[in-house]
Amino acid sequence: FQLGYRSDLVDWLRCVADKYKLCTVTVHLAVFLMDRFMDHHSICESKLCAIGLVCLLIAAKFEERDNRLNEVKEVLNCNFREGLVTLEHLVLSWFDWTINFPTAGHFAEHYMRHAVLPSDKNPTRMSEHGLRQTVIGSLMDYLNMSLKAMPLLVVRGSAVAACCLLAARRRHCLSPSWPPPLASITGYTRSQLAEPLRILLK
Amino acid sequence: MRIIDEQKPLSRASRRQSMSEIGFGRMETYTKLDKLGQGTYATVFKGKSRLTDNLVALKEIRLEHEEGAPCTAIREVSLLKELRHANIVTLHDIVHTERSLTLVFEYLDKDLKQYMDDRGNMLSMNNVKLADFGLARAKSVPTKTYSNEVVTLWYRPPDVLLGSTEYSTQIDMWGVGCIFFEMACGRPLFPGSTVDEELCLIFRVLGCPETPLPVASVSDTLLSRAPRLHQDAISLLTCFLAYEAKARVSASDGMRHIYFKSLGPEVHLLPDVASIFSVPGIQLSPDPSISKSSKNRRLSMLL
Repeated sequence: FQLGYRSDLVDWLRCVADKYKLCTVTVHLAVFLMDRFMDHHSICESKLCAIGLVCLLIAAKFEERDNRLNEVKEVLNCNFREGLVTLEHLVLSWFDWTINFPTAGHFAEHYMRHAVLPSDKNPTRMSEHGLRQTVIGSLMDYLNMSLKAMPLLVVRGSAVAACCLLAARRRHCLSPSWPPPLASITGYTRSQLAEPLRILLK
Repeated sequence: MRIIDEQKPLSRASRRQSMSEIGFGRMETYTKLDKLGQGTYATVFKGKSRLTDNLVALKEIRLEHEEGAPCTAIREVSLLKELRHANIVTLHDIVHTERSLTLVFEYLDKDLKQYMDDRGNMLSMNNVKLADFGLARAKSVPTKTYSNEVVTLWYRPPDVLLGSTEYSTQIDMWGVGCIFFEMACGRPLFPGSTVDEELCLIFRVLGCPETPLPVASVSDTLLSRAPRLHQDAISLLTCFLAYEAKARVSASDGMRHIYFKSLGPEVHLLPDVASIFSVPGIQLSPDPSISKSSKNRRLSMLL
């Protein structure tokens, strides 16, 4: 039954993360931890937000730059701090402290540098830099969408990130949309990405 | 290639249950002995495991009630859990209570300095092991920026000292060079006490970043400071000490440097968890250098 709340929870976590300007990898890791944890626990409705928040905090403590951690503490102080420490203890020990999972967010950071290639035909009137920023913006949008597409939960993070990049490049009519260098950087051919892409754009 | 991961049921909880029954995860399992040191975020004790009777190092981290587990501990533990290597300290156990978090490590009886001071009776084949991952970060891509207050000052590369916050694994290769020198000479290469002083010391050897000195003259300076190092070692050292992060040799290319050639090809096939001393013919021996005739002998590990 928790699955019914997942979409709202993801939205809410993103709002909290946006408010405190936490980075994309943090949000993706948080959602990943939350999904894993919820798969193996049945959690009462009133505790769902707290679990989500704890996952966000753990992810932020792992991923965020040190100079951003004061903001993380602020999130903690603004939200029911009582019990949160106990919950964090519970979640960390369930994961046995192994929480560095590479998510689509991590792979996207890596692919981002190759969002636009020198060989691409630029159909717009934007400068190369402008085009790059626009494609990266779309990549981020698709990446956010991917968090809520439940069938993508069983697809590897690297494949999800690759299909988000493919979707972004298609949207801005870069051609070819999936040239050989991208296939070699990501390790996925165009046809391997067809299925996740279909799910993402549904 | 499979891109769909099968969902497999986790047995984590049940495994932990049985670990806990034999005493893991509980403070009663460990006896605290002498205090070994105190840092800003943790106190380290020598201890003994009642399960195995082995000595352990107990790193006790005080928990601020309202902040939960510190980020340094989360990073240290979760990174160490994935590292299994003959030259990296093993994390045996974690004891998490309301007031403190204790990391239980294998006990190393000397730090690097003491180890080097004891070179005289070097017949023991102890491995050098890396420990203290409190400031470690997951290897990431260079787009991500961190604060520039990373890495102990003496081992901090010039680009970071000058304010760069865009870095990746190359930041560590500068430090490897500094420690390589230090192990060979017994004293630090750039022991600055402030950022300015640190930069000054670096400039004195390498020249200014805008007008760097030619490699030959850098080599001469290093050679005069470290007469025990021969040409190949100096050449490797200059590969680490490049101003431009991108120009620094990578760890895997560094291992293929001619300096290591005398160790033979077997070292490249060594599994992660095997000690270098398991390779036939490799052993510690008193430094034969000073005389330059030693080039073709098995390399003395300058430890």
